[in-house]
Amino acid sequence: MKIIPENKLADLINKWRSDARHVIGPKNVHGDIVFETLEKDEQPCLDFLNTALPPKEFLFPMRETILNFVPKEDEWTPFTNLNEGNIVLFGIRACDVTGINLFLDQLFLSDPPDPYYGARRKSAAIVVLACEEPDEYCFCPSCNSGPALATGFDLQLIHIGDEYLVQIGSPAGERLLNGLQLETPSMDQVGLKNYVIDECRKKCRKVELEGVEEIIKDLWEDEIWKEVSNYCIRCGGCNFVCPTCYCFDMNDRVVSSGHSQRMRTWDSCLLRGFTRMAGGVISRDDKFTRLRQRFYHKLLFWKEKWGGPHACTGCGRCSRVCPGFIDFGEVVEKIKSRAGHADT
Amino acid sequence: MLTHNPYKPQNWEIKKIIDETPDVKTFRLFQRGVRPFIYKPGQFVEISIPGAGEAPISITSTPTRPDYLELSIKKTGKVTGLLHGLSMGDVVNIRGPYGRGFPVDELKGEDLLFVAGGIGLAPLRSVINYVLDRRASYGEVIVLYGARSYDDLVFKDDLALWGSRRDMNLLATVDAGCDEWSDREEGWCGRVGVVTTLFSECKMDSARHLCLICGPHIMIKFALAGLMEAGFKPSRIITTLERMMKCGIGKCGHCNIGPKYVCQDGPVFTMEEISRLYEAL
Repeated sequence: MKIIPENKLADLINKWRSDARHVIGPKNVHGDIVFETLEKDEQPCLDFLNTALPPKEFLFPMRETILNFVPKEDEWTPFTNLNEGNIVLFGIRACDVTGINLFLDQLFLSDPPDPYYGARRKSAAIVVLACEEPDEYCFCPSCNSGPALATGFDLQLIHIGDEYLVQIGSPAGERLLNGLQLETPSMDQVGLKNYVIDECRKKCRKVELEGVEEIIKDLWEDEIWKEVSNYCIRCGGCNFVCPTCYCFDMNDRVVSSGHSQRMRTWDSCLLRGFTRMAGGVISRDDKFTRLRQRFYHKLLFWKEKWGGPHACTGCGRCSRVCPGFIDFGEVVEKIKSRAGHADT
Repeated sequence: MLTHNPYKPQNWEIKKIIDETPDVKTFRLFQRGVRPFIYKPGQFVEISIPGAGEAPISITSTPTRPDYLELSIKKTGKVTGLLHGLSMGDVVNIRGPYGRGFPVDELKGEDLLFVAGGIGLAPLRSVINYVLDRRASYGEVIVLYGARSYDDLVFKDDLALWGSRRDMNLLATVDAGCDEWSDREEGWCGRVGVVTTLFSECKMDSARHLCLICGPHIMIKFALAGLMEAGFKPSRIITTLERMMKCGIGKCGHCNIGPKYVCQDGPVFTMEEISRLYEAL
């Protein structure tokens, strides 16, 4: 562990940039906190609850070209200009890092590995900024994914007074601090760190997920899916802001005569066309069947396929963005209230 | 560095196009280059035309005839529409094969009952010809095939051949008859009615037969009801599930059903497996 004073953070970021790293951090853009490249001399916004979107787009872009077709070459060539360089994802919240470590990595790096995600992931250093304050939707402690992490980062910063306590989580994290003269924290500072994290944890909402996978199993035909989906306007927002959602569509774009690109784009299981098959048949045509799929996937299917935790990191974004006020925690409560009362 | 890229297709040349029905064509393809293409009946490929995109299509040829690959494609959308406009010598892009095919090794020694509807015969044709090419390894072979009309029957050359073989039994029927159909004298054809009407005629035996079934959703529904009534165990009914597989490698989520991905865990499933999948059928 090291200590870095607030006013030295700029030096650290400048150092990374001079090491030819591409630094991505939270910025305040017209009131929205978003991850963007920190240009020369630009400093991140560190006074924020969480970013509007998780930083998954820097590993798995919303839209990317994966193959190029040029008639002269008569074959598809993989698009390799990933622009990845060596990126530092700076200021990520613990919940979003959990989304990468436990969910996106699991999916994209499992056999056969996705080369685009793999290349970006390999080059990305992760610098966590632990939370000091939750809002009413945050429930990361219920998902074991925050407010700070025990492992799974290169560096983790915890704000204590006028300083940051820096935890080093990997050799790559060690290298990020190379050449800097940093002090080791005192016992008091370490105690303060623990206090800050505990206080934040205590303020978080509790959403008890344990055992919900057993209860939901009997609720496939339950009326709750129709009830809850009454408020769904099938915008797909919950999917796009989710740090564990990964579905994508693939389609071709004609660039010019003969020159085509094969693209992939984020997709959403709440959108009606998601399950459209040849001939126009849509297997999840009713809105409630799509909402049901989302909750079953998060709470049961992912766990059944991969083991590990439920596919939720407690970031609360889906609840924050839903225009119909469908709240993940409330749906979990509804599911649990149906225990033993299943229609089927 | 991008080493192996699972999304990169290979070039295949169209060597022959067979008009099966007004909206189904079979494309016989040869691979350009030497990359080995090893597949099992029941697997599928992603076929594409640059600029149009990809479509998942089941393989209808059998690996026992390794000189070519055949895909039977119904014109239903953008990619398949453009494929129907191609000619001999044109090149298509293919990646795969993907998925879990029919368990042809485990089926050895079994008495097999095939039930197919319309273009659903395409993946089953791969198994049927596989079994016929290794005839001694398998038991009885019965093929029940139904289509909307005489014009909608696919693989008429195979049907004629299968109908003439003494070591198998083919029965075909159409929903709506016509003179050309009714006046035929071969024993396998001429019937009118849905495919389930062939159940009583074919002397199927749930104690003995293992059933492989593929066709449109409505046909599968009725055929399954008939098979269950006849006492078939769900573990002895095998079918293929249709979904819009986009990536083919278990990533994109489009073919997700319960904890399974049709593109990797299927498309071939037993009814016993499907019964645990919540929404499969």
